[in-house]
Amino acid sequence: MRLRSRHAATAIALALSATLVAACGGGGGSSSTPTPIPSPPPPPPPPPPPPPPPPPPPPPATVDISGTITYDRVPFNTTTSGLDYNAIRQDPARGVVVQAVDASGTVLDSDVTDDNGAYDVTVDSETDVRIRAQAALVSTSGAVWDVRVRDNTNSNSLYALGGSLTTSGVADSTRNLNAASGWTGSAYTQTRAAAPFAILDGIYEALTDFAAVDPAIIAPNLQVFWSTQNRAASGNVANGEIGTSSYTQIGGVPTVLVLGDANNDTDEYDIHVIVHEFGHYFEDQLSRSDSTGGSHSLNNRLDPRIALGEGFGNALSGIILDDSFYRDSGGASQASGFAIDVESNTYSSTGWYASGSVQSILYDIYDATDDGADTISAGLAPIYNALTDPAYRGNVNFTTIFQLIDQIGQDTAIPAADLNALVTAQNINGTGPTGVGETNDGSIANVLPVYKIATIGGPAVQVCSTDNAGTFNKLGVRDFVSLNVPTAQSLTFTMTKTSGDAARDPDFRIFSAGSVVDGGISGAVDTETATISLAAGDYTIETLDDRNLSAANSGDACYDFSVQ
Amino acid sequence: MKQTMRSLSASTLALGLIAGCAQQSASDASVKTADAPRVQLAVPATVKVGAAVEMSHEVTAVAGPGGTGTLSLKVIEGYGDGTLTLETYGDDELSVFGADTSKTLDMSSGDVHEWTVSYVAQADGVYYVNVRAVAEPVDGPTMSRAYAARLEIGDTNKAQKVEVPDILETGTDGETMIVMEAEETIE
Repeated sequence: MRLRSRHAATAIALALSATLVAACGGGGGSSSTPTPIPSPPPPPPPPPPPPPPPPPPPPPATVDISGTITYDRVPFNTTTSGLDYNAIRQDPARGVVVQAVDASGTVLDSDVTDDNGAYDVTVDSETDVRIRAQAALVSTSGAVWDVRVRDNTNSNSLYALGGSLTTSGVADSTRNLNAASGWTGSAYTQTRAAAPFAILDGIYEALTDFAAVDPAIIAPNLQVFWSTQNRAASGNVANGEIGTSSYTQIGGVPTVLVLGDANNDTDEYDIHVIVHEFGHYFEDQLSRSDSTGGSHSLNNRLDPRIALGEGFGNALSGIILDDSFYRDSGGASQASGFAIDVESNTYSSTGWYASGSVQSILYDIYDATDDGADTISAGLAPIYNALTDPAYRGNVNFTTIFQLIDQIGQDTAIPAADLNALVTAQNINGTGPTGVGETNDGSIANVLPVYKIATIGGPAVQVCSTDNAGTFNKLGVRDFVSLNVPTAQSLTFTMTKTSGDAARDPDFRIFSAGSVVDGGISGAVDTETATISLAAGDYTIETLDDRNLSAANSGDACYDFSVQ
Repeated sequence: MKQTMRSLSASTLALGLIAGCAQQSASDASVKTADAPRVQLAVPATVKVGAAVEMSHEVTAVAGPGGTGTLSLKVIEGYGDGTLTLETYGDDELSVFGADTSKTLDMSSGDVHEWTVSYVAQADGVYYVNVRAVAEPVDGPTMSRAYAARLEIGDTNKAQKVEVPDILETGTDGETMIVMEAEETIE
């Protein structure tokens, strides 16, 4: 068994040897002696499996969304002063409030655009967010203001520009929004989204220019009413019947009203008109205005209070925009318009009652170009400082060019002789805050002196009211009377007709530092009497014929005015 | 230059308000009673500069939907020379026609100018006849002024065309907003 076993083992070894030779690819001949075969090396161990990839980083908790807000600016055709829709450009919406809101309208973050219209907000990642730019200028530190453009024909809603509701993603992103003009080639057929932002831009320019002079300016809230339905009809403001672009107060809120009636008169791109009306807001809220308001034109001889306000508004538009050409577009396709060069020194009507003279003087004080009698290049500061000076705001007289020039003359940086030359060149020769010695009567008898002086118990002074230059707010409709009351007392004021047309209605109003305190305004014919208690102080009295407030029954008459 | 306003009838002038005068009345809106001479002035409205023209209107023939009405327009200008160009046109869905829808006047011929236009509106509602006046005095800048005469056709309670805002939203601060769709690029 063992032999058999040994033979068997040998046979197995041979067989294995042959198998190994065959398996190694050759036998190397026919040797009959098998070569010992080394044991094969063990196979290398398999490489270790790669480590599992690290888990992806969690998304950032927040991401930034930044971008710019722009609006379509429709510029003027400077030949026609109409709008040039072929030259529409995208201007930055400066200083406006930008909000990131979620699907429910919750404000997630907000910012105010810079001078390039840029904003940056931070929101949670992977959140549906919409960017919304409000037609609102808001500054809450340093210089302070809050100006909002609202639709007076739609519950005074605030205009805003909205982007799409899109996920904020997991990385910072950019969203640029533009407010389109709505002009599609020959008409406004789309939403006029740019209009509120175009309006705001002129106001922003004015506010920042003021802030450069007065970094601590605090401007009371201002609302601007604009609608595509704001038309040149007088009636219900909520229906868009605003008469024309203007400044007033509505419900005690300073309000600029802006026309938006396409093909008749729109003003959203008439940036000089916007700054002009903003100038009235500035006068009313930060300076002082005694203007009567009402319709006016450059060729009118005006009550000097409205001449000052309107001339200031025109000059301010040239100053703020550094463009002396005040333009106002209108008509079919807004393709026509007119221009006024506030730098011009020549008007058909010049004097203390002419808005053209006022705008020429103020613009010449500002601008760096010497022309005519202008040798002053003082910038905005002396004008701003004079208008906001407590002495100017609280002066006893009315706000006229005399009062303002007297205040500007307090600025030692402006040579008195140069200032006098500017004023004299406009046929204004009275001096001091009341224009003492003025000789330019605007071709209307009895308007001089500019201020009559009444004394208690003294002789009656003659006052007149005439429609020679027109009614309501024109030169000669009202006379001014100064009165000093040394001690508090009850006084009887009497105004009795001495000459002129029949059936007149004399009235008078007594003012203290521009605020009306009392008066006599009955409908009595040819006379007016009132007994009034006044505190000690200086007063200015406005006398007029009530029938000269409108054209229907206007006329001429003079009166004795006395105080006992 | 003595204006001729006294020759106008009070009733005629009272029928239409000029743009400027509507604001003018506000600043002298003190209550006039013989026994109450207390004075309170309303806040005046300071209006934009424009041509020295004041416009008013009177509906001289009332018309219903589809009918022809007539409108008498009046311009009082404050110039002594030059030309005054007047154009009248209707707003949407109001036709204005007649020989005087557009005319040029000599301002040296007087201060008061009147003319008549006809109109037709097919549906009830409130419409406006637009007027544009351009004054070109011999000495002085050319300036314009717009005016709109309100017409009430038939049942004025029926809705006129009203532009619907894109989206109305109320903010968390209670502010109601008209959200207009932006042209947006996202990167």
